[in-house]
Amino acid sequence: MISFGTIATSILLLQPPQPTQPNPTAQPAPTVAQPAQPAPAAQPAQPAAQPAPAATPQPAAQPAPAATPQPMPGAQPSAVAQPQPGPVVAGSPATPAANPHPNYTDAEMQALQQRYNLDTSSETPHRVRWKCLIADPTCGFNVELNATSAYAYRLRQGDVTTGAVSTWHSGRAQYDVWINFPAAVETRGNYRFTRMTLGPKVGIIASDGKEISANFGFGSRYWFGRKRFSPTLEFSAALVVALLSDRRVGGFGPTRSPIGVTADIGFGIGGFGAIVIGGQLNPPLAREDIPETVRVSSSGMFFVGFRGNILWGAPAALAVTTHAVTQRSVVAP
Amino acid sequence: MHIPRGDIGVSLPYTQFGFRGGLTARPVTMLRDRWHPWAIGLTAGWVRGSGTVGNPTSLSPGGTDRATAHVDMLRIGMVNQLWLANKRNAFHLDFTIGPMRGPVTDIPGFFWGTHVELAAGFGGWGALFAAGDFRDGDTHVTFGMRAHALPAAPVAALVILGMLAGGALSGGGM
Repeated sequence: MISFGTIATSILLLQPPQPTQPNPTAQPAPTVAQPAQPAPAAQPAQPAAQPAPAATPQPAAQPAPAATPQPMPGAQPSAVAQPQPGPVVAGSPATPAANPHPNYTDAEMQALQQRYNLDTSSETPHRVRWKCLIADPTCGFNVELNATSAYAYRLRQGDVTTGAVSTWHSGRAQYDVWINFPAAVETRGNYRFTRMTLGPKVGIIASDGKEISANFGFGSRYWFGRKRFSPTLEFSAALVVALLSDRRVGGFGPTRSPIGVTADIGFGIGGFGAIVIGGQLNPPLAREDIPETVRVSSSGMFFVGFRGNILWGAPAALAVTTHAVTQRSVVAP
Repeated sequence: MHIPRGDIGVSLPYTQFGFRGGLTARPVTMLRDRWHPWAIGLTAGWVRGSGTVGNPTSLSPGGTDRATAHVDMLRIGMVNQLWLANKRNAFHLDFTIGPMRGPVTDIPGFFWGTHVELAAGFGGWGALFAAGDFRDGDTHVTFGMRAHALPAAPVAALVILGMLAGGALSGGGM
């Protein structure tokens, strides 16, 4: 989208005084023709002897704002191509019906745009859907609910005297609420697009062994384009605490947990879904002053999966399926 | 953190989940018909957290058998809110104080104490909180995040659905 307002302003600022004949059709500028303003006492009360701006014949290229073709914010290129009412300037290189900048040729406009690095694109942003509940470059702030289903390669420290490590294949289901604030924006013409978001996230992680963990941290998304399905790069990191698990003593119930960390990188298509790669670390609780039954070994996982917004269904269904299959088929060592 | 008195228990990391609800009103706003940042209300909540571990040298020399399965606490609080802007989704600071009931490590019984919480919220949608539950001889200090039921309900529903489909809730426990 052409920055119409900026170009028009530049034209006004750069227009040299032209000793053209006063345009009989041009309306006097409001700031000039204000008979209600008291004239300075030292000047005679003659219309021709107005303050300095009026003493100079008003250039034809500086008409009143209403006579200047300045598209309103959000104006479309098609509207620009329509005939614009305005003053007809003698000797104009182009007719106002075909050219919104009647005092310049197209070549001069291009030179002007290049000199001041003005955006000449005519991009119109698409209409956002779902009220920004699915992330979009046209959304400034949005809240989204993401579901992740992933394969997880899990590890747990075993006997420290032998350096044993238990490993097993498992699954990971995760549900997060992301709150995205615009961290970097890109202005194209009269529109502002979000380029990068950053904000808090909170959610639940589930895996085998009836494990339910809470996580809260930050999520960020970088947009490589301004379209709804533009590629994105996502990054999130969070603190993790286990809430429930199938305990060695007492069965399924609240479990105590030191604070762990999880982080992942995602390669996505818009706000709809992303392939994520990540890891998680849960530190140990192995003090000697606590009974053996309540000690917690170091553990962690690497995971690869798919994270997407639950509003279009598939990510939520995949995550629930992954959760259920993991519970039924995975037996941790 | 679970921080019992040294002679009756062992300090350990503590995790919990819970539910809280209540009502708030803005007296000055209602009486003077102009916006005022102060709101006051009543809340009630229930939490279930990880169990305690008694000190094997105190009440009974049991050692490993003195770990409880979980901790339940009931809380009633008076909440004072300070809204930082006259907007629907403005940030607000919440200070809650009131009585609570909960266990003292593994000592049989349900004891009264004091609950204090300072939270930073976002339009009522969610908050970060730091809280303390203080009984004679036992303290729980928690730092966490809570969300309003509207954004939290879909997550809870999906988690419960996955656990039901996977048979995780049929084995008893809790």
